[in-house]
Amino acid sequence: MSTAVNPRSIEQAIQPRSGPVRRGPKVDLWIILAVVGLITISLVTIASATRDDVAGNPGYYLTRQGIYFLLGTVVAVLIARFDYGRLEGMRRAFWALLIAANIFVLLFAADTRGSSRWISLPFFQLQPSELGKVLLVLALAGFAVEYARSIATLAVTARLCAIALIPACIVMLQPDLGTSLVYVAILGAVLLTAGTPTRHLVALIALGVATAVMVLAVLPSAGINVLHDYQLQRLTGFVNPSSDPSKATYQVNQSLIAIGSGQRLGRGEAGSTQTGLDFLPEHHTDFIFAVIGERWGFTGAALVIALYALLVWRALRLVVVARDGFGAILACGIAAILAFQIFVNIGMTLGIMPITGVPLPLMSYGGSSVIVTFICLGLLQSVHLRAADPAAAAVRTRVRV
Amino acid sequence: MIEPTGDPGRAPSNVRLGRRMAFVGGVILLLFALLLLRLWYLQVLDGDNYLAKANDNQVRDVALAAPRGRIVDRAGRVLVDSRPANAIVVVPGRLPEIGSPEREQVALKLSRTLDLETAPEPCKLASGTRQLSPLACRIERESAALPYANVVVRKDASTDEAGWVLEHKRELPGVDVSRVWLRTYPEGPVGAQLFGTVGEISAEQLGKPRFAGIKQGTVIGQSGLEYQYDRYLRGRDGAERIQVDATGRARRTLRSSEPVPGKTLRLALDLGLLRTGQSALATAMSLGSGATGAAYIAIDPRDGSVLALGSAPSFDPGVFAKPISQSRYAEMFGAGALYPQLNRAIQSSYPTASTFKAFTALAALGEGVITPATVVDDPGSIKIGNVIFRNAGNQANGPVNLASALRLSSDVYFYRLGAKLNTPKGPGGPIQEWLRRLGFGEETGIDLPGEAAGTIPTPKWRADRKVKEAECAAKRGGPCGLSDGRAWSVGDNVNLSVGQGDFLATPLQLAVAYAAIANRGKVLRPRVAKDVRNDSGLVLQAIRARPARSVAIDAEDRQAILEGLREAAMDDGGTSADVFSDFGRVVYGKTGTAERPGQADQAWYALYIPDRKRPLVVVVTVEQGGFGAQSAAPAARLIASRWFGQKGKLVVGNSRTR
Repeated sequence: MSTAVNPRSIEQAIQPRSGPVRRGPKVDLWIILAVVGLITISLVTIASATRDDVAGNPGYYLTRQGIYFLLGTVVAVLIARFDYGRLEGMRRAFWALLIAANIFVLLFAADTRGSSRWISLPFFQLQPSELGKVLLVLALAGFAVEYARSIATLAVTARLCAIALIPACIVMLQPDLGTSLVYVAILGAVLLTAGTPTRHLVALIALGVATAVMVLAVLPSAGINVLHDYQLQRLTGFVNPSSDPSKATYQVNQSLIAIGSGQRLGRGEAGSTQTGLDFLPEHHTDFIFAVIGERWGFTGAALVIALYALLVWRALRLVVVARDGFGAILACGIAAILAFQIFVNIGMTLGIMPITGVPLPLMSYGGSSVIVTFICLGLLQSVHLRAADPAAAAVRTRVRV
Repeated sequence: MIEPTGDPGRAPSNVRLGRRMAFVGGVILLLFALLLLRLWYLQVLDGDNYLAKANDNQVRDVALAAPRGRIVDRAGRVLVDSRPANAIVVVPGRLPEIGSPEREQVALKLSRTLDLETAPEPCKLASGTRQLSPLACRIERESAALPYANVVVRKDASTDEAGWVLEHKRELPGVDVSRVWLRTYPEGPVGAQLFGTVGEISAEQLGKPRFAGIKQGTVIGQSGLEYQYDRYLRGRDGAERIQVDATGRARRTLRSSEPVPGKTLRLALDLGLLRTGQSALATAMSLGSGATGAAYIAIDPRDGSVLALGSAPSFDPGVFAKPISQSRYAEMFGAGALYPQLNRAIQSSYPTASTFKAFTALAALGEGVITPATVVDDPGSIKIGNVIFRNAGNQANGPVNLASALRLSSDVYFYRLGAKLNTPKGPGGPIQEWLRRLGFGEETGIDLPGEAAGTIPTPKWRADRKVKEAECAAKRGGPCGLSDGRAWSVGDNVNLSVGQGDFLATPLQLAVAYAAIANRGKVLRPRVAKDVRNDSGLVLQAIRARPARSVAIDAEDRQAILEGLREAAMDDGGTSADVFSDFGRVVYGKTGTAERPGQADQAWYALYIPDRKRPLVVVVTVEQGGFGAQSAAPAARLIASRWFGQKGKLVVGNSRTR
């Protein structure tokens, strides 16, 4: 760190950061509308899809998901009231927590289906790699703001990359390829928002493509396997399903059949045989979108995509109306988390993306994913409440939190 | 308001940030549009296709096998029955992909449970040779031959084996247990060739009109009565459409049609006589040293009902419930085992030797060449042309008339007739004409498949064979053995007059011809089956023989021949008098001892026993069984004793006459 005058202290002197800019802080109602729509669909879908999953307890998953949503809402409200600006200085702590938790998982966590991603807590199993998504956005945003003046230098770009890629590598070792790719997406979003020069971005993209080619094609043929066989097979197998006789193709085929058979209006709950007869795997977690596609057809599936588009649009919009750079970067990082997961998950169920185990935010069953998504939503609202742009104020509705 | 310039917390340029966010927003919009397009394609454009696949996923059509009908004897005693069993089958279409290790794993797991060989061995397939376990090899081969048929891995699985497969369905994709019906044979080898065997319809059979409408995998009759009366015995398989979940477990039945069991086939056969007949054959074979086979048939001379029919050696048809290796099959059913599946009573034709003399007599009497009283001197041999024809053992019988010629089985008497009745051209003379009238040289039309037609040698037949031999030899480049190339000569007719030479007939044909003499000229179409009944015994269809042909037999001629046959069986000096003189009933019977090149003599016996209610014609032959009186006649007596409720008594004759 340099000995020069901290630019932030000057800024703080000019512009007080905390406290509402105007009276009557306003939340973004569009986000709330999208979220209420999505979690309603999630609850209805989980209720019917998991009715027979736990013998003697048809509401097992529904109750739990409901509790997660409630808990998430409380967390989101608390975070929204809290001034996100206070998190700016805690970037080292966030990064340290991110690294520590993921290393802990790598070393000690319980094995579930061949990968260790969980830490058992008294209430539920926490997935640190999920929480890591938010921690990474905060750490990256804090760093980018602190080095805003030298953002155009290669050194800062390199350090930003290191902050994101080190935890991404650890997560990949767990192994959780999907989440590590989310980390990369977050990095991209932060670099774009923080003002990293375009030539750096182009160079990074080139480097990324080269790495992908090495990992997927060149190194395996040389006998070095960076990815596990099943990961490689899933990544390459979806391009050419007949070359991949494993379970992954079965899952995607069943998902395509479920979605396709939904046609325009869906098959209804009783008619959804792909879900009801267990042909569709992971019907309440990774493949929940296929359940929606089967049950409500194009109408329902398109509505869900529209709600997600609304959510992502509102998040992206915050980037340009945020009070400060930190808020802008935070909003864009969160938009990236959401958009990337939505596209990869839905793309997977539609057979156009590989199977990477990325959950569908606000839809898939799972405590970690729900809570972390609500933390993100809380942060978005926090940024929105403190946005300074009059354009934001114009579309705001008057609601007190 | 914040000054855009100089605000250190902000991105360097709001304009650039705006541009970048527009770019990011545009990319995300594009990706979401891609999702929607794909969704539209899957659900709206291609939705029907996926809906069909979804239905295909959850719906299984299961065939419910129908039991085949029973075969019962005239009194309703069960001869062939059906019992339920569990078959372990592989549905090739639901196995893991060809060539994948998972597919081989399924075969391995199954092999271990069923105690089959697991060591991989080279397996020749259309796609090349691969190292596979024997079971995997069988599955690949059979599924390649009949792509949509299930491969039956084990026909008669034990409850343990079937239970294991059901419990491990998840690990065994494509393996299933199906309920099947297997044939049971309470009588074991008795009548095995007559009843025949069943088996799944073959690829070849599927294309034939006889089997039109029969689905792949259906069990049909493959031989014997099972084949002949398949359309009655075969029930109609039911079908069940069930909804299954991802693990293949049935959730509910959507539609089902009940299987309709096959009908009961009632035979004219008498089980007691059948049993006796089979054991009599065994006895006869043991009497003639080195016998290679035997057959008998007992018919009612009034209507051609087959009372019993058998062939030896026999086999236990129950063995087909278990898989048999090719080498084991060859061992059990090949030359070494004397072809036990051959029904010698109807499928083998032989020279019938002296039993034939009755027909020569019919022809001679009919032509007026002799009268019953005509006396001929029998010095033991006769020279016809350049050839000397002799009696058996050169025995001189002195002056003989028709009756005594039959009693003593004088060859010379009949040789003379053969020479006299020879016609050197075309279809031959009166003997051939009578043979045709009596049904030789063509199938009798019995209700059994695979009947042999036999041969009536004529000058024309000889000439035709010679031409065929020449054609065949030209094609093959060597002799075919169809003909010795010799033209017809009087010697051929002389040989024919005593049932030798080129003449061939089945035991069945001989029985039909004797029955025609017995019933005054009706040439019968024998019938094994009597009627078709339902479960409660109601007759659904009576099986009647098509009307028999009639041949005019002069009453006096008939009487003369019967007298000769009676003396042969009953009177002193008769060739089978040793065997039948104490029988207690009038027996008309004739021995026969056929000379067969390169083999021991074949024993024959044909008899007719009149009775107001239960007349009987029996023919017995024993391949390489020696003299007729030595093995065939004693067996015929055992059979006749049973029919007339007498105590079975084995009496071996001493006559060394042919």
